[in-house]
Amino acid sequence: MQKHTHDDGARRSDDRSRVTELMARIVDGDEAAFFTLVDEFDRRVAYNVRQIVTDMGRRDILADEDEMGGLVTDAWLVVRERAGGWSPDGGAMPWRWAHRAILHRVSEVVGHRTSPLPDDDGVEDESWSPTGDGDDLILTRLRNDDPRLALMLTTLKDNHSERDYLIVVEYLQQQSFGDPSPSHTVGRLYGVKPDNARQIYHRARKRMRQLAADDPALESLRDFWWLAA
Amino acid sequence: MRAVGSIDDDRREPAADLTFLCLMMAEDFLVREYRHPVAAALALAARGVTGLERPAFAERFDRTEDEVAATEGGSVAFTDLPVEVGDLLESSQKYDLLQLADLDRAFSRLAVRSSLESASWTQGQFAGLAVYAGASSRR
Repeated sequence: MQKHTHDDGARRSDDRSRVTELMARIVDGDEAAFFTLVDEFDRRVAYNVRQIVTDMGRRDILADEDEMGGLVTDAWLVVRERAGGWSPDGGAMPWRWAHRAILHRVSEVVGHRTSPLPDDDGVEDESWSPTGDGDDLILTRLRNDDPRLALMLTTLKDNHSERDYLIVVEYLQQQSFGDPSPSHTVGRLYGVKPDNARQIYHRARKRMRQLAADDPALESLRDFWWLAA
Repeated sequence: MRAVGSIDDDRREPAADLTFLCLMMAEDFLVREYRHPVAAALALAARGVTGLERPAFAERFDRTEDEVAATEGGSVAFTDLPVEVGDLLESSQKYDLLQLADLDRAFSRLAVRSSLESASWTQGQFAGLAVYAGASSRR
């Protein structure tokens, strides 16, 4: 059994008053306090998320640093969304208080990212058509016209699920069309929440940067506009 | 570096992606029609790094509260942000400033209404797919 010391108790009390202060500032509209809260208490939320994923038996997710980071980020978004409802009088820290909502969010995200796409998940066939149907044709044509873009797309495709690949390409296209909110458009097209679309895009870019940095065969992508900017 | 066959566990504790949270906040600010949404989010994140409330932050960096409020309210462009904003975010090593600068550029481009300019930007940025897609923005 873990031994609790006087110092532990004092630290817990300090933490509670700090969290109470920061949550109050967030509710009052001080957005900077949210960044502080995340910065100072990220390990607590990460621990909770790790527990949830462990309980779900998803060791594959536990081993994926990017996925876990994304889930922790999602958990913080839940805390932020619900900040107004939290009260220090309840006794639980915000992330414990919002546990069920975080569990729900994690289940949602883990489910859709790792399961094969079922036929009846509410995504209509035509939603997949914008870039998916002509994909191979596009890549073939691009190999002649713009080999670097073709390499970027091929690498993107090889390192992501089909759905994530399509979401990223669609996101890029919507951006290039001047869509002020590509995450919402892509979310509607692919049946995912805008937050998830944004996150998939963000992580894919991060992963692609890493791949380009690590793999000499992808050296030409290092200053490719999407990765270098 | 880990030797081949080593049993060291170099898996890092998962951490929230603060850059992503910053991007999300910037998108919110864009919807709320801030003039410089990314710069506003960055200024807030920088103050978040210090943990200070606005008056204490202003005092620490020898600014007026109004100046800090203006920066956080999106009145100051990304390139004109006070030096402490970049310094704080850089030193925290938790923000990808390149990515945020990229978003700022993307948002700035949205203000370009000229179809000619938009078209050349589209071609320049994503030459190929936009042409093959042959469709207008779906909103």
